[in-house]
Amino acid sequence: MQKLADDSVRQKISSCDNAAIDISSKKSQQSSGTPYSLGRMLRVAATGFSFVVFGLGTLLIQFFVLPWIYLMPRSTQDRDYRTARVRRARHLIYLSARAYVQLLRILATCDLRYEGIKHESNESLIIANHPTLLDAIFMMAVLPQVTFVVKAPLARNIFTFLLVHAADYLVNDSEETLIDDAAKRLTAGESIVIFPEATRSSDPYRPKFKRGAAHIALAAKVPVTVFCVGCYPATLQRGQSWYDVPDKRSLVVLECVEQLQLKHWQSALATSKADSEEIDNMKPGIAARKLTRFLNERQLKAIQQQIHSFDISRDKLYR
Amino acid sequence: MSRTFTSHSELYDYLKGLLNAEFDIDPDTVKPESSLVEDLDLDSIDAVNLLIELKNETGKKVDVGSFKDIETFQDLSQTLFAALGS
Repeated sequence: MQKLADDSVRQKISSCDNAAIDISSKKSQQSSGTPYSLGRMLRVAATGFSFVVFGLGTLLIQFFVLPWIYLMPRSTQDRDYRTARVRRARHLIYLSARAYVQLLRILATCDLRYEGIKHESNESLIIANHPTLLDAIFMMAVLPQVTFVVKAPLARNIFTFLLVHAADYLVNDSEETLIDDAAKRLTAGESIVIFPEATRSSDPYRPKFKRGAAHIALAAKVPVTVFCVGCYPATLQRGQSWYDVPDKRSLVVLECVEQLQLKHWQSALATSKADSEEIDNMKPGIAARKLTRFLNERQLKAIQQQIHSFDISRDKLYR
Repeated sequence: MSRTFTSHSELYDYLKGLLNAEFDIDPDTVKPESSLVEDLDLDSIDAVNLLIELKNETGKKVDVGSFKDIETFQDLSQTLFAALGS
């Protein structure tokens, strides 16, 4: 029975190969003058409006709300002023992201579902695939006090630079320093969210991880939590214009799939049995390759399971 | 004891062995025209690790910036031979 289910998922995924080839021809049909349906035109307008709200909202928060956080005295629960500022800034981002997600729901740009999310978190490296532009916001709306690894341009972008600084997010401007900084924070008890692909997926259902996340996990020796972001059909993908929305409203699922304990993922690297000494003696380049392959496979499996459990049909995978 | 590479082919073979030891890359798949990123799947962290190993072997330091415009394994071995060779 399980085998049949797996076969059916595999069939859906393999049928994506043909569907993926069709995307370019569909895009060219759209741009060659295929009329937009009323629902689609409304979703284009709603998407544009939500982008305007995002831009104005971040500017307002940065220049009119954030300064108050810098001026507020620390409370007794905070170790020092910096801790207080970071905690409040992250909470502000959390509340803003929740409000933004509510707006997306009201505007009906997509159906959004959260599955298996727990707000409390112990120190863990949280990884997720990155199919759409808004994945980080969906995660910020459910993970209040975690450190996000952000792309270097966001630390210079007028819409985000003050927030990135106030929340003390990790800026990925050099892979080598990122690994050390992230490992230090994890061992100090923080949780870190990273998209191991480093950018949005080329194929939303087949993420290809880079090795930075694995290097961090190996250096910090912490559990790895796997999140799965599904967007059916995919929208706001890499290289896609904001107004190029699908014919159907997308279903977005953010799911906390599993937490891989240290022993669990270490056993995936060891050749014989789980042996931390063997992993310590392994060349970092080899260990990172093995762990990346392992985590990438877990992520692919999570996507396949999500497609199966939400009964996503082929026409909902691609457009 | 610092090692000196007297010919390009000596360094070329050494690098193939190093890729195998450090990254588990099968030497048979390494060709002169192999792309470092696409075919050998090397990234910036691997580049730093390679240079550390080369420094341990030769005692000479190579700047990671010299990797910037390198695309193929042949380019890599030639650039490193120019920097490390006697």
